[in-house]
Amino acid sequence: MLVVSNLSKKYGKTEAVKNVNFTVNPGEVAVLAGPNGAGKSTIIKSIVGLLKYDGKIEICGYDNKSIKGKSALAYIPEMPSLFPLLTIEEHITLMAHAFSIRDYEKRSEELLKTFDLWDKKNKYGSDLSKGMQQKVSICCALITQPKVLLVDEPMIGLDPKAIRNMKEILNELKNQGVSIVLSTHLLDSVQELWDRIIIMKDGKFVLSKAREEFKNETKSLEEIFFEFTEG
Amino acid sequence: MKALIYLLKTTVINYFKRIKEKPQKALSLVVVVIWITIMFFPNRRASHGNTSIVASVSIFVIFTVVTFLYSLYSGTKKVSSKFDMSDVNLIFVSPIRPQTVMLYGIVKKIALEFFASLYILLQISNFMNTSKVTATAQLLFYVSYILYQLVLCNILKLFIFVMCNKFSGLGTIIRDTIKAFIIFIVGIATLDIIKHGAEKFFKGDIVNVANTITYSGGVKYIPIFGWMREMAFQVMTSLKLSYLIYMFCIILLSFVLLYITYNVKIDFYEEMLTSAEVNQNRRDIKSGRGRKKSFVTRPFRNVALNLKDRYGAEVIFFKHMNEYSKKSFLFLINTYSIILLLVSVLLGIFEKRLDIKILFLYTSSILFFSAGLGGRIYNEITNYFIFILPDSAQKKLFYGIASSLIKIFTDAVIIFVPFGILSRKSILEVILCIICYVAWGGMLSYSGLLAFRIAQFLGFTGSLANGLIFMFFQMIITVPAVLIVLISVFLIKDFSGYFIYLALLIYAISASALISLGCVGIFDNMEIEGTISR
Repeated sequence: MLVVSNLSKKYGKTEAVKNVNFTVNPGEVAVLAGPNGAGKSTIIKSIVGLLKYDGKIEICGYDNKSIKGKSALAYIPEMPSLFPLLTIEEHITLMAHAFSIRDYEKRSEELLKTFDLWDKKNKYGSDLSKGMQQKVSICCALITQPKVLLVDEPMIGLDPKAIRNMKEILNELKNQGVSIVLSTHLLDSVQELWDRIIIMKDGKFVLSKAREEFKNETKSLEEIFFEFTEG
Repeated sequence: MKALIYLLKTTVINYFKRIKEKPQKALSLVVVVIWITIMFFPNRRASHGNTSIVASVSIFVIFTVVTFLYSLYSGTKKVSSKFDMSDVNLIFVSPIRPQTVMLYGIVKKIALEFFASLYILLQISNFMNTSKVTATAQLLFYVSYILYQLVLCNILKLFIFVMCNKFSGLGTIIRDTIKAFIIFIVGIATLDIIKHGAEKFFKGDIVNVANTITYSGGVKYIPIFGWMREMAFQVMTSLKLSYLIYMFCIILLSFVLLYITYNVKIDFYEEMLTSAEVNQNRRDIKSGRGRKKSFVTRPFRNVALNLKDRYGAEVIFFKHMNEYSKKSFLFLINTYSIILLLVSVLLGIFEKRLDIKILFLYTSSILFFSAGLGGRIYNEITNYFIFILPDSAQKKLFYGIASSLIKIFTDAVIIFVPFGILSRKSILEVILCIICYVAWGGMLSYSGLLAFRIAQFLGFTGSLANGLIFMFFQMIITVPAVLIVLISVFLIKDFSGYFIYLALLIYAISASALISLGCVGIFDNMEIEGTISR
């Protein structure tokens, strides 16, 4: 479970995020949307613990910067970046060790096979294309068995098969009770997944609503997005 | 901690594995090893004179003070880390204590800075070879220097950084104190010069200060500076057991600072993000994947790009000219042009008797470095735009190089015309200098492009290996030009008037024509490994 309370973040005098609050319950997928510069990445980076901020962020009841909080959190960045001299398999080993995950080998094999990386597991990070690096990033995040998953632009750089697999995995994690936050511009790609939509504009939430709150409305995410960001 | 040890260990092992798999990756390592060997190889021709102990020790102590103050000062500002985006995305988000991550950062920084510090070690090595310092003393001194410069100074920077984060206002106090100290020293020196004259200052007072630094008994009790003084003194005279005690003191101090830093609750990731992005960009450029980004933050001039009635490959030329204008003070006059102008005017005033051919040869040799990879065409070949442009490869090459030729022509006018007027040289010779300079620059631009193609063909995609191939190729095509100069100087007296210009011009034009044939193919396809972001 992810709880963000009164989160504000300033870069110098610019207020990038203004006092936002939201909760993502276990098994819930929250879609974080908004125009460029709305503050989505700042929120993601704050939750991951990369930024200093005002407010409180809790992951499964623990502070997001504590060891226990971090142990429950996984992050898939928009721009993947791997260690050039580590092979794909070694990246997975590294992440498993860093998160104190034991007996990860079977899961690692499953993930690598899902993303067509099994036969390339001995390739170095520097030898991979951006798309493959993205797939490795996903595997690195998923091997940690997270309770909260943050994904920044999940489908960028992936081939169609990987996109389908990614959607299946996100669904699987959702069913396992993982809280997922997806930041994306490709709203169509998460149409079937979402449980909560959070739309940001100028550092503030202009909408934070659960799927069931839309009752009988049959609007797509894209329609909801334009309704709240245009005009 | 286990994960980070795994990361460091695997990185080192894989580095050597990779060299085994792709031997061309060893090129840069081989160059570094050769360089280090040459650096530390005893110089037989070195004069074994008696270098002054006072001068050596006092200079070393002053160097220690300066590096110490620099570490303090830079620690109060943003610490430049060696983290890159893989660390941010995978390590910073892991459940590892930030203090442990910082320790990992220090290890990375020390390892990477070790090679950079070899240059200073070379200077120390050269100096020691001329000062009859024993091999043991040399070795001990290298170790001490590494301990101080790489370990202690880096830990000190981080310690100050952490303390400044913990106690707001501390950074300002430290910076102001350092500034006040510098003003105090400069003030005293200035007053002394005004009061007693420069001669007394340089020949008397400075010597007295140096003597005090070297021989004063009290200095050795000052932590760090005193220890370093004692070590330098013992290396220059004779080693004592206390040398090891001073070394131990530096290790102990580093450990204490590290221990305190490690135990302070810190949140430093945000401060590291900017330098991580910069490091990542550098890493990408080095590996041939990234595109050059200007690290200069000076704003560009607002010059509109006018492409009216310009189509096809012509667009490249006008785009380049626009880029030059945006980065220059006026038209193509940039900082480099101003330096050339200053040199030309100063030589024209103070060295009227200097043969213009000498100026031509000097400036042409600078072109060897600047014309090759300095042209705008090198930014283009790392971008897909020039490849997809629907025009012939010959036109792309012509228009791609044309802007560089105009820039070289402008520089040539700036160098030779003021000097020619001020020193009253023959107009014909000034014109010949300009023509030959442009022809020579053109040849080097073409050859740089061909060298780039050869490097890519051989599979050298890293920037260092690429640069080495480039230098090697440029050297080969320079050999005939050097022969022309030697023939002009030794076989035909006094450069034989205009022979040197004629010979160089014929060579540069013929070579350019031949090399350009080899360059054309570079635009035929985009499949050059490493040039296009995958």
